[in-house]
Amino acid sequence: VTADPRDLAREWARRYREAWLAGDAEAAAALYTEDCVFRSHPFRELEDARAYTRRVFGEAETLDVWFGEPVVDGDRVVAEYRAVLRERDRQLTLAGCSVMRLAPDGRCREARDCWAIEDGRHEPPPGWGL
Amino acid sequence: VAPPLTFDEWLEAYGRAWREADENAVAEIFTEEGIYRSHPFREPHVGSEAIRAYWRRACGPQEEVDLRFGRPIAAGSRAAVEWWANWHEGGEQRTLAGVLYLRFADDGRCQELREAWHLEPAQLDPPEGWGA
Repeated sequence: VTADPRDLAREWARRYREAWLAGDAEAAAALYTEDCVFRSHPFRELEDARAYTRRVFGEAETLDVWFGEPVVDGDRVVAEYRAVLRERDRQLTLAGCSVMRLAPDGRCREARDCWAIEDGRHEPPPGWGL
Repeated sequence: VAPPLTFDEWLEAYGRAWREADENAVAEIFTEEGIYRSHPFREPHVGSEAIRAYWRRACGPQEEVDLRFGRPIAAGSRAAVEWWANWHEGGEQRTLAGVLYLRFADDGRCQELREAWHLEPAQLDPPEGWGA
């Protein structure tokens, strides 16, 4: 039985959100394949997705995370996200999206991210994520 | 009544409106109450008049726009697509790379656009594998 790609995408986002909120870098890193082709920003070089995840999870505490309903077309997925983080005593909001390709087991095997970061806490606007 | 716009037609019209800085052409592919969120933390441009004004301001100073789209990801009334743009502005090079997130009305016009992007004051080409 082949899983519905929409279910895989939702499950990926659900698990990532849970890991992010818990500050569980290993759980988040495990959502990427070992050979995932990962670019955290359009103008950066490719990186090891797992190493990147472990590094950034250590840089800030996560206060809130939202994922939108992913757009899913076969194994290709775009997921919007927003997170409120605390870095030392400063709150930041990160908002962006991941353009991904999921493996049949639901792990991410390709991802390119685009995002913006802003001081303070900024919850998603009405209608966001739909 | 005109047939609904397909997503491919919408994207082609959006690209043309950007390359030609055509504020009327961009307003035509949004609903009258369309919401254009040009940045995750900025106030949206809501409605045809606001979208025209935004387009004039954003695209007006751009010269020699070279705009590419990645392979879209589309599902029903929703779609997302990566884009990569290079242009000149006030004698300087610009590269803007981002993702459009779109929700459409039944007639194929866009009800809401959200985007995230990164800007670099340089001429950069997309990396290998971009947009695929």
